[in-house]
Amino acid sequence: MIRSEVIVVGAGPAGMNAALHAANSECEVLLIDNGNRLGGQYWRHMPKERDSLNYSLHYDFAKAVKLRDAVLNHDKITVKSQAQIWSATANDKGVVLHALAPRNLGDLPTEIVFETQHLILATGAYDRALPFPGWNIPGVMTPGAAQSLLKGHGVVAGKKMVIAGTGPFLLPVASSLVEQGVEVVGLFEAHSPKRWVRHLSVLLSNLGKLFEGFHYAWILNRHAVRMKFGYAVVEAHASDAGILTAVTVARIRPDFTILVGSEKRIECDAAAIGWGFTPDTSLAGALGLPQKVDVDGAVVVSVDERQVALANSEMSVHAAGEVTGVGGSVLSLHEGALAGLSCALLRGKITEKQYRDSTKNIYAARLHAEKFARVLKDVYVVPDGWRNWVTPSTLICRCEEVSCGQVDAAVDELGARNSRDVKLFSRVGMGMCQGRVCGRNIAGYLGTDDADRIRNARRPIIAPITLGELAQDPLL
Amino acid sequence: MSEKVITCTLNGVILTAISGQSIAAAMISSGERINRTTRIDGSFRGIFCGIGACFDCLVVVDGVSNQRACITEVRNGMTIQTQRGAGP
Ligand SMILES: Cc1cc2nc3c(=O)[nH]c(=O)nc-3n(C[C@H](O)[C@H](O)[C@H](O)COP(=O)(O)OP(=O)(O)OC[C@H]3O[C@@H](n4cnc5c(N)ncnc54)[C@H](O)[C@@H]3O)c2cc1C
Ligand code: FES
Repeated sequence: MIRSEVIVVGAGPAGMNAALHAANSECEVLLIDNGNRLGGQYWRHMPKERDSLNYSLHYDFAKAVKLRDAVLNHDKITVKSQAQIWSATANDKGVVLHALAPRNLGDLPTEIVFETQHLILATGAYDRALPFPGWNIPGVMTPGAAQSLLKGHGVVAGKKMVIAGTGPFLLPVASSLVEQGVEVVGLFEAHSPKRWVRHLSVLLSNLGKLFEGFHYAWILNRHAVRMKFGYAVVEAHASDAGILTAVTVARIRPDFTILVGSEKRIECDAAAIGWGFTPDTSLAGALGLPQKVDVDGAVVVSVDERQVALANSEMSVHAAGEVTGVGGSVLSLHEGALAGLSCALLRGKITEKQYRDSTKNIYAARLHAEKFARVLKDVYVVPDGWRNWVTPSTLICRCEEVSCGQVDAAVDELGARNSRDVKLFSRVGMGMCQGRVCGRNIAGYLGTDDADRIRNARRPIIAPITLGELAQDPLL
Repeated sequence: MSEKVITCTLNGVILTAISGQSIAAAMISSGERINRTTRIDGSFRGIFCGIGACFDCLVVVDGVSNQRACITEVRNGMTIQTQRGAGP
């Protein structure tokens, strides 16, 4: 059992900044992450010897390096990488976390138990994928997958690629791929840019973001890649060998229904398609943290203004970053700072006055970033019209290979009324990913209420532990 | 500092990669898109989420099935096999 005054789970922008702020206020911090290097999703990078590529693949890598090195060199912070938390429980006195992790670098993973009175959850988010015929063909992936192959491993996902979906994330993905020599044969944003018109004032008060957007647009323009608006990938096609050879794109209406007759086939060897992000609330659910449905339909951890999700006189659980609602790296950094300082206050390392003085500017910055995040959720909303892209044979649950037709049968023939019924009758969401990919789509497909969405986002364990992995445990 | 080259095998054939790369990255750069066949209809799957969330990229590593290729780093001498169904 390893104890620490404060434990932070997740070493993305939120978790790193939380650890740094708590440690700067004299808290002993243990920062746990399942990756090999700090940075989380946004600041995913390769080992130091490939730094020149790291710098060219990131918009602001210098900022990442500064924060990463401050965390790594801090004498109050211990970093535990490659540790996957697979189970967590909270009681009146604190939190117990079970991880599968190598004890020393190069060891096989074994189970390690961590304990703390003050936990900060910063587990981030993963790409949201929508089902369509052929979305399970190898070569179809999320934009995050293409980005992580490139930023984390220096590998391009294909030679000839289509990038599609919705949201600002499509821009950095497309521009980093073209810069690495990929032929981007199509870049499709589902929404019209006109949706920005009623938010111009917010856009103009976020000049940094606007410049970042121009930076990507300039790169794309240099490579003669034009973004087309109002289109979506509605089908993928495989070769006889079973791998991707082409996608069909179609014009879609603002409600995401297809304009029949507008379909067009595009040859490609990889397609990166994503619809924003879904917060990873698995740990939060296991800990019994309060959750709610955000304006974009995502289930998120519900926190107060100090990022506290759960607290009594002896313990606390804070949450920061995407897990409290998708908002990007800047908002994640602010939330992390507030969570770290709040822990320091609860530990008595700083006074209420010191807390107020040091957080005043951060509160204002968080509010500003939150406003921008809300606008993004409005502009890049995902309406349920995608339900008319699927056919009865389209898989909705990739793990258990359950089709939309089987879900329809569970509803029409067996009388299923909510996600749980459908799960029991069809095995939807019962596979290895535990509903991470399909859960939100099932609720959208059925059109269920918030309570159903929250219940359905709970997972019994955070990551499936295979017997094979346990068998490697030298202690067993 | 120079990049270190790792040598392992994929379905018995030599696969080279750069130290720090994931199995998925090494497979894609060698032109291999298929990580496994599914348990029920035996269709092909490859990398999908790229960050360990979806469990689509499962391969058999040193005889142990259900390993996520996207978050498992290649090591010298590793034997990687595409997984059939639930694996061996
Ligand atoms: C694949 C991907 C690529 C992205 N790329 C970009 C980009 O290029 N530009 C951009 O602006 N935004 C990008 N984003 C958006 C991103 O969500 C935010 O910008 C930002 O990274 C959020 O920060 P965070 O600290 O909240 O979480 P994250 O950065 O997601 O960090 C969370 C960390 O927690 C770890 N973790 C989660 N659960 C566990 C567990 N059970 N045990 C141990 N560790 C755990 C994760 O592995 C991760 O390292 C990307 C998102 C994804 C999913
Ligand atoms: S690609 Fe999703 S877990 Fe590996």
